[in-house]
Amino acid sequence: MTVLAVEVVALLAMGAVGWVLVGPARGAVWQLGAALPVGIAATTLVELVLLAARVPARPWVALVVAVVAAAALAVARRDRSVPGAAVASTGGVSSVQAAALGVGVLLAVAAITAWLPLVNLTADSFRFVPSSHLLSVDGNFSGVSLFLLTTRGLVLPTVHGLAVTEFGYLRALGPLLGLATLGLLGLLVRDGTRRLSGGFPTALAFGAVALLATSSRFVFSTFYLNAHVLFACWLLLLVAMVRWLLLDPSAATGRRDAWLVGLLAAGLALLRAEGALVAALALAPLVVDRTIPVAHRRIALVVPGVAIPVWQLGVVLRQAASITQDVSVPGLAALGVGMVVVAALLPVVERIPRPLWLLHGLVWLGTVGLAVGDLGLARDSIEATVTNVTGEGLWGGSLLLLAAFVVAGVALRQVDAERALVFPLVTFVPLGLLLSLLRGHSYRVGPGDSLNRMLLHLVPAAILLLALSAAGRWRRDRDAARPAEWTAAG
Amino acid sequence: MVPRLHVPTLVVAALVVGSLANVAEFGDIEREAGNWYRALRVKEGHTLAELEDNHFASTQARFAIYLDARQYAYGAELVVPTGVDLNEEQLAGLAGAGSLVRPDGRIEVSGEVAAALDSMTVDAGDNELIGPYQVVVGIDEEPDRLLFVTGPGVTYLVSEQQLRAAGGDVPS
Repeated sequence: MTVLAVEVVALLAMGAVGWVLVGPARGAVWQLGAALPVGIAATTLVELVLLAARVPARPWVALVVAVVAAAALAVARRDRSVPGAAVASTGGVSSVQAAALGVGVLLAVAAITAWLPLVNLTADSFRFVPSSHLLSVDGNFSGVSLFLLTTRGLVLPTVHGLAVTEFGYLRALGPLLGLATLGLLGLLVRDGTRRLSGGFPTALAFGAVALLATSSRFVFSTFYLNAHVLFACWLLLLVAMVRWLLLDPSAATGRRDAWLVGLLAAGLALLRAEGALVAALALAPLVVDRTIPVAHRRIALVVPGVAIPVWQLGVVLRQAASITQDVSVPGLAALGVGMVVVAALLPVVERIPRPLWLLHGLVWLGTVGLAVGDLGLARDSIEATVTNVTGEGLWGGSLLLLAAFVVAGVALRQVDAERALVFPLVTFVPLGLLLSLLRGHSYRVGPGDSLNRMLLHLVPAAILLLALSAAGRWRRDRDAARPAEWTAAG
Repeated sequence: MVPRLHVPTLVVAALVVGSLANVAEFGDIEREAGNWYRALRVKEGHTLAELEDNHFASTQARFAIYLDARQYAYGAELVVPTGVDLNEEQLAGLAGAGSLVRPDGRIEVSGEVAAALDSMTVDAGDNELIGPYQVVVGIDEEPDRLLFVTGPGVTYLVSEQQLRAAGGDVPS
């Protein structure tokens, strides 16, 4: 019972932190759905700051600091309400109702997962658990190897370190994040298609949620102790908020959204090894858009731009014999520094013609360049990936079917601010292969292959894009009015 | 000329078709996934005979047993028994050098641990018995491999560098 109580308190506290940070401006239901994911990101960043400052930082210490900071923020904001831009489908639900619903769902999920052994564990899961335990023992990651730090990151060790039992973990975390992802997807689809008449926004929202909820890989990942469902949830939130910023650059909520985008980007970078690269791609459409206030773009860049080097150089490097022991450490630190440099030089960066096309081309160039240097590895990775998405990865036909629908939708329809969604999805194609080339060994056939699992991260955003195409304009009509957005922005 | 179709209807239909296709395949995929997952678990359980009896029944129970055995850090899929033994001198060197790091992060410095380990036997279940001390490799591609000096009920976590510094053999 104590274990369950501690788990509930930890999840409620993280949710409360996120609830405050998200704020009520976009409606109580949105605030509820985003609360836990955002709270996890905030708690992790506090843990990072404490670790970097060499303050013994057990996860509970970080959570208490995050709660206190959030409470102070809530008090400070009390008299400064932000004009609303509520997500369409959240009208009519009060903050109290939403909070009560959230607490009820959390208690129910925690009770069910405490009673039934629903959590799946594999070899990878067993790598997070000792990191969590070691972090919770002395708050300083003593004894954690460089390999665990670089591949398993800080987020899950921090979150699961909140469990009080030796080598314990939060059983309800995955299912709650799965529910949050489904709810956020439904809200985003309904909001993004609200210009349609009749019951179409609702039908599309239910259809999108059904498509994700019936994916066996999503279901598996929801009950799997690993980072995938959290990564997918954060990426969905990130690209959706970037899209909002592109749609209404002068919105009163813009500054807060920019902070949240930065927080989520930093979270992704601390969650998985490839997270920083994916976050950089997801931020790119925001960064190059001149209509968005420079200050907002700088906020979104600087938060991950500082967090990544602090993690890589301030924490991970302590476990390495030298900075070259793991090339990802200086490489990712440089990426973070690069984000800060870009933030500082935004007026110069803005003068680069077609920056999104250029960035996309650079990713391809790097991928092809490395592939030429190791054709065998590239071939093995491509063959394994093709084999996985056509059967061995246990996707069934769902991934190919979704890809076909998305390609058809994007080919024919112009979605508002679609570059926020299209750019990270399309650029992941070369990036997926690039990751294999950078790590120096190929992908493998089977559902446990890392790229096969990473593909899940893109699925909610891809479903959102497909659903939004229903409310888009015919690309032909749009093209007649002005060039395609990616072209215009890039 | 693009035909003027009612796109919202088509997209709803696509979402429904995709969902139905997922549902139709779900059972088959789950069976395959179950086979894959069970195979993984069998591999994980190879150092404890009890796992063979329990891991199908309850993931949590399996995990508890796994932790009790201090084999928590890596699944056995990735744990390769090498049969590399450490002699008493090497173990004493490790302990004396203060280079044995317990899973909880504390440094174990007592040479008595080596003697205690020496008196134990290893129950490797259906697998070959590999002596009183077993050095296992965490994962072979990692640059800073963690090694586990294991005995029944205890696992000591050492880094490759620590093992080398103490004069231990590092399996390749």
